[in-house]
Amino acid sequence: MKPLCRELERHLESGAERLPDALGAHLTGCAKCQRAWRLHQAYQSALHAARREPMPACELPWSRIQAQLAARAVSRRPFAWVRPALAWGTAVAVVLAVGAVLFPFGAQPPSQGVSLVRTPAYVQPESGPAHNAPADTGTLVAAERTPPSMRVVAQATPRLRELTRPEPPALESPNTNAPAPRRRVTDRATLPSSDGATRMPTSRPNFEQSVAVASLPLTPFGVSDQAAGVEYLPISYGSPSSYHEGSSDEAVIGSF
Amino acid sequence: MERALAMDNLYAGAVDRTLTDEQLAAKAREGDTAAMEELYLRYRQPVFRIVYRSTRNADEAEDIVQDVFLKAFERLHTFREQSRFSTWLMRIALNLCTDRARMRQRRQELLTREAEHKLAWCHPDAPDPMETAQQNAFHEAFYTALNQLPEHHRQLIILRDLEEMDYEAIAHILGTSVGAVKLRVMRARRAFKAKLEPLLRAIGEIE
Repeated sequence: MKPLCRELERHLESGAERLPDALGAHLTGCAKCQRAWRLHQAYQSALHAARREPMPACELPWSRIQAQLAARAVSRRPFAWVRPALAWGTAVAVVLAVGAVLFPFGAQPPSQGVSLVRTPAYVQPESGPAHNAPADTGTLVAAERTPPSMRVVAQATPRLRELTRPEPPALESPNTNAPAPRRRVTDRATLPSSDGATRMPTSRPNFEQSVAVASLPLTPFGVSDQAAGVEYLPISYGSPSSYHEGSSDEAVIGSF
Repeated sequence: MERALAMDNLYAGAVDRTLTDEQLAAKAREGDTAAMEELYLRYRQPVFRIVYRSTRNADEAEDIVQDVFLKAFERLHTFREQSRFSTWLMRIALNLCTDRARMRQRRQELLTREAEHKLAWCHPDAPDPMETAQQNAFHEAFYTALNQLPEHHRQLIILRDLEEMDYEAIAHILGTSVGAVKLRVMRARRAFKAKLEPLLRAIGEIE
């Protein structure tokens, strides 16, 4: 591109409506610049025509703007509570989330799972039968509790074996054929122990083995803490009837 | 409508007209409706001109003008007096024009320009079609090319070449430097001419 062509292009891009004489003389000999100049002239005349074009007046009255402003203000008012409500809700959610992280509900570590109720371990003498001894023989001897062998069971209430369910005391009844009234296990008195746990009375050595009851944690898989000698049985949900029918290796949660 | 305009002019004296735009804006921010009205009356037509250049439809332009002032009065608290009120208002108007242009493109122009011309031909007070045909074609070519431009180019052509604003004012409106505006205007003109040339050639304006 020749220098004059470049200069003409700069002139046209700046919006000039007239050309210097030197550039005017250049137009006669350069077809490309001549075409560009004609296009520029057409563009300028189109611009002038557009500027001269009659412009309609804006007939929008102020009253309509005012009414719209008022309507928008009214329509916005019912939702004025949304922002503060969202802010408060978010704040409460954050506080709850932080609290859940710092103080997890029911997430007591197994080594710290303190038995709420502990019963002493009862063992039978080596010569005697293990399970089917009569309850009133008095041959069971209280053994010292050794924590590693102690079995802690996670369940809500002390669990009794069906076989070792205590017989109710014989009542002096004229009708000897009538069945004796059953007593609820929970009616029995418990004795406080020295370590703070509740001890079952020694006069009723009906428990098969040492049973300690821990409230937490309740876990669906079961946790065994060998160091503390504590075993947490898996949890299953059911009714009191399933408590007797189910596996003895799982704790049953139900309404008793 | 004319009556409404006359009422506007009648009741517009509730506020001191010697106040500057920024002083009026400060009053309007505090809820002074008379100050809002004065601002509206000052800038209704300038905003309408810019918008009408972009839309070429008076009804649509009035709708946009209404939106511009509603948006401006609702967001007066965001107006910092680092720029002039008129600049801030024009920026809102250009942004709304851009939004409308996008919507219009999606709608694919329900009212085509051809239909408008047919109505004009049928109008009893319309001038002689033979006399105005060439001029209409010229206008048509011009605005067709303008509408084919990207929005940022179209805005610059309108502001600089049609409304004849100075570069500094355009720079304030667009939030950029004067040098950048000059460069963009140059590019916009080049693009506009490229769109305009075949249209003018088609109607015989240039060989």
